[in-house]
Amino acid sequence: MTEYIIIGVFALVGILFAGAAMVFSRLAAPRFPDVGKKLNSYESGEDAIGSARIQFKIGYYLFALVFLVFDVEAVFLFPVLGVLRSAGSATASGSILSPLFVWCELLLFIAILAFALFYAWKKKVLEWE
Amino acid sequence: MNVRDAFFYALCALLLGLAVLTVAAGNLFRAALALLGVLLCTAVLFLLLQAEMAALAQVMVYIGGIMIFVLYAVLLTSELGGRMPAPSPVKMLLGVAVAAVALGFLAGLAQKTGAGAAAARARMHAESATKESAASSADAEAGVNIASLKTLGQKLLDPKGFLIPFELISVLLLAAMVGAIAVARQGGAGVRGGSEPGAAAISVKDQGGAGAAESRGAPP
Repeated sequence: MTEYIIIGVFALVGILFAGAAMVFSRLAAPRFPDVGKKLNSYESGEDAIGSARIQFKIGYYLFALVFLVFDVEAVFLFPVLGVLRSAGSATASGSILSPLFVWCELLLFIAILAFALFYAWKKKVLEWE
Repeated sequence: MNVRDAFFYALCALLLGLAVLTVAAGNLFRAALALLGVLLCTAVLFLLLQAEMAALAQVMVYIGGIMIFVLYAVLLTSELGGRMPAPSPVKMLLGVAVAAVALGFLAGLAQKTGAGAAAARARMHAESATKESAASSADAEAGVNIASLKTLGQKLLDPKGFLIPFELISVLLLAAMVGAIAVARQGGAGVRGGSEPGAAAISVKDQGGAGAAESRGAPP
C-alpha cells in the first residue's frame, strides 16, 4: 500500500506545482483588457483563417481502435511480467513453473497479437493518407 | 474517524461532484474530462479496497484507452465548441428514473454483500478457533492479498490456474480488432480509396480533411 501512497504524494505535488504556477501568474502578471487580435489562435504569425476548432481526421479513429487492443494486452501483461523474475520458484498453488515454459506462454500471447498488428498493417490501417 | 476514513469520504465527495459535472456540463469536451476524473477517483477507490488489478485496468483501459477514444470521438464531431441543447423534460425524467432504479439495486446489493461478508468473517473466525482452516482462509488470515498483482500473475501463468483463459484473451483481442477494423472501414473499402460512395467513415474523413485545410489556410 505504501507504494501507492508515494504515487499519491507525487500526484499531489504535481497538482500543487502546476496550480501554484497558474495562481501566481494570475496574481503577478499585469492584466490588459482584450484589444484587437489578442485572442486569435496562433498560426506562426500568419492571420488565422477560420476557427481553431477543427474536425479531426477519421484516421485518428482507426489508430485509436488499434491502440485500444494493445492497451488491453498491456494490462494483462502487467501482472504476468511482475512474476516473471520469480519463475522457477514455487507459486502460491504449489506448482513450479519452469522459466522456459513461462517464456513460451508469453511468446504465444504476444505472437497472436503481433498477428493482429500484421493484419492491421496489411489492411492499410497504419498508412497515413 | 481516522485518516483513511477521512480520505475515503473526501474521495467520494470529489467523485460525486465530478459525476454531477459530467452530466451537467453543457460542453461535450468538458463532460468527457469530468468523466475522466470520475474514472480516476474510482481507480483510487479500487486501490483502497486493495484490488490492484482492477485499479490498473481502470487506469490503463478506461482512462488510457476508452477515454482517449471518447475524446477522439468528441473531436471528430463538428459541434465541439458549442453548448449542447438542453435535453427534453421527458428524457430527463427517464434518466432520473433509470438512475434511481440503479441506485436501489446497488444499495440492495451492497447491503447483502456487507451482511454476507460479515457472516463469512464470523464463520471463518469460528472455524480457525476450532480446527485447521482451509488454505484460502489461512491465506486470508495471514493477510495474503489474493487479488494482488503478484498472485494474479502466478495464477495467469499456471496451467492449473488460468493459463488457457489468459492465452484466449489474445485470441479474443485479435477477433475484436479484426471486427473493429472491418466495421470502421465499412466493408473493406480502403482508407485511401476515398471515392467509395456510401462509406460514411470515409466521407467524414474527407470533410475533416477539407475543414482542416481550410482553417489552416493551406495553399491549394
